[in-house]
Amino acid sequence: MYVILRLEGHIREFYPHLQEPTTIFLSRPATVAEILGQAGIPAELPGAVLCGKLRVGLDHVPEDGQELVLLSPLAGG
Amino acid sequence: MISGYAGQTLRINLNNRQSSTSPTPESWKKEYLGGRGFVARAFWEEIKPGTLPLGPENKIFIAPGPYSGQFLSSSGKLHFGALSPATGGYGDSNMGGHMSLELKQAGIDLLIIEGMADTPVTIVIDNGAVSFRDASAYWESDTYVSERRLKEELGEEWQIAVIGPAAVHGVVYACIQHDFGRQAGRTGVGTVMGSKKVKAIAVRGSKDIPLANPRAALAAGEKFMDAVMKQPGYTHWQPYGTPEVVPWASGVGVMPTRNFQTGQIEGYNGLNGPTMKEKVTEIDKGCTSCAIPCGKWGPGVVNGKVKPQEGPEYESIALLGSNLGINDIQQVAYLNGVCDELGLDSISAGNVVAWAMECYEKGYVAAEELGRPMRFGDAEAAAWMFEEIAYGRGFGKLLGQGVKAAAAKVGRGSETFAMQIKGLEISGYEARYAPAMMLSYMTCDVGGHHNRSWAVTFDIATGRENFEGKAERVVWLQHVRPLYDTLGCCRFPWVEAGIEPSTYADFMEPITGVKWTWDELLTVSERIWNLTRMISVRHVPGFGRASDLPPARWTLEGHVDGPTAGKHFTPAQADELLDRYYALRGWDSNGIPRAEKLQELNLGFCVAK
Repeated sequence: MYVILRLEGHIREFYPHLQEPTTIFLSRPATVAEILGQAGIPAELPGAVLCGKLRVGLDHVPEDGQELVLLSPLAGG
Repeated sequence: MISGYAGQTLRINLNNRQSSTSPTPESWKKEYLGGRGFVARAFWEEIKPGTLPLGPENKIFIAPGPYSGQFLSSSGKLHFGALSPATGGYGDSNMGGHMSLELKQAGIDLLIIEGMADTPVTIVIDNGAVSFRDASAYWESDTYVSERRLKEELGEEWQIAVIGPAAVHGVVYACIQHDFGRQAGRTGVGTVMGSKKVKAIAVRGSKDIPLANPRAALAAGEKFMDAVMKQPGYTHWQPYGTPEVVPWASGVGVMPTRNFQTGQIEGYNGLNGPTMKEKVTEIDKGCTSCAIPCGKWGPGVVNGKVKPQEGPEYESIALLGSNLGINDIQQVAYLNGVCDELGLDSISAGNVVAWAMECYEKGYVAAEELGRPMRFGDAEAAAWMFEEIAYGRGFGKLLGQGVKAAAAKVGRGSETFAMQIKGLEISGYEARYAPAMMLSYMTCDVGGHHNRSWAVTFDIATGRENFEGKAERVVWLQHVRPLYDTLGCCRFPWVEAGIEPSTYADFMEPITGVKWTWDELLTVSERIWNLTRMISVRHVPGFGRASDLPPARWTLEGHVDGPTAGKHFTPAQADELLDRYYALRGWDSNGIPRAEKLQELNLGFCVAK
């Protein structure tokens, strides 16, 4: 099984190998935190994680073939 | 001639109430672009050593950028600068709203206000023609009342920047407010305006701004807007604005809490985006030509008292919320409204009052001296103290001089937890265990401010203990982020929606007629960074490495709880960060730009003769 990992915003700058949506192959269903760990991304880095356009937590288990979008935290005000 | 500019510098002399214009120098367009660049270049030229921040020789510089309002989404930014009464050095602040385009359409690339009026005035700029209105009747009025009054007198189409009671009474962190909730908040630019007895600046303009290729600019702008609105980041962040970052900031331990004693606030969901949308936000509010209306308008509430206001943004939530021990978004919104109507920078005001609360809880300052008990979590007490500060009453008069001055007066070790750098109160990111962010604050040209380099995510991505690459990242960010202030744009399309910053180079040719590369734009930003450093070298006695050191709390104490409990770097490690940073910058070991670096950046005029 696999998921598509897509980084949005400035955190993409930290991962040159993840500039484009990237397929992450999984040996079994995995949580978002586990998938991020496999991709070498600290689980606390994204400001939000979207799966199927809905915000999900780090313990969410995406379905086979779904896209995970990692949004950058923002600053300002 | 380079296009995209209105063409004129407007100089207003308050001593004789005369004005004059001069052409915007072509060389400045090439070497400083506009906005922050024009402010810094004019500052060097016009503010002489020995000038007092609140004396008549100080000047206010106001500049839109070449992109301001020019078909590009989120291009409503306007830059303000002056010798800072908070730090004594280079001061500036950036504001959204609708005034940047109005100034350009009034024919103005740079507005210089000099001298001092003998009675309170409102400066009226109608398509470049200057007149003065007596402001005595509303000199002491709050910002909302004053702006509404001027809108009613002049007309809704006028764009107005106004100060409140805090600036009138000399609070060193008074801001300039515009559009009922947008501020040039930091470094006391409002205080300087107050010292000149300028209550407000009203602008109306309808002149054309020549673009090199308007059709190409429009097409590029449409493409950009379309790209922004298709980004998942846009869809997610826009409804909530910056408050949506609260759970993340608290979760990773960077949300200043109870005067930076820790980095997480219990019950942080009481401050997050969905809670604000439910309990505060009534309408979205945006700037000129913006696809991302991040401003949220709605009422704040404390103990049944209601105050309409715009916001609060994340920074105000951090400093007026968690840093005061408050996790109720309606209370934070109320305090934000109080600060806005008084014309107080909510970042500095929240920081200073948090210090006073810690002093009270530790027994350093008694309730009798403060005027009432000041405990963390007491929104009513905070609101009361903001009024005391703005009107210069009681202990508030001391707090109005900033946390550095207040701690020097109170003593007893309270300097340790006076959270400031260069005299400017630190903003909304607790950074003692985030080396790139700490270095960002330490080396920020105006003092403890986050917006020149925001590097928390880099620290998390690359490891908080790790120093490798941190100084490099800070230097890069200090060129990229202020470049937005130079062009007249907001950073949200990059940070929030994910548009590559290098995209911005593509707009230069259709707007100005000159092709620029991204690297050439970054060189301009590096030039400005070194220039603002030299301005502070020129104006602040003894300015150098010691000016870049963090507050003692960050190198002596760990967080009392949270994910980074007990963690901090040592003074020697802070020095190591500075060594790395100065070497990259081409500065000497005291943090002074070397002559060859200045020559390389065409800043030879800054080299001491």
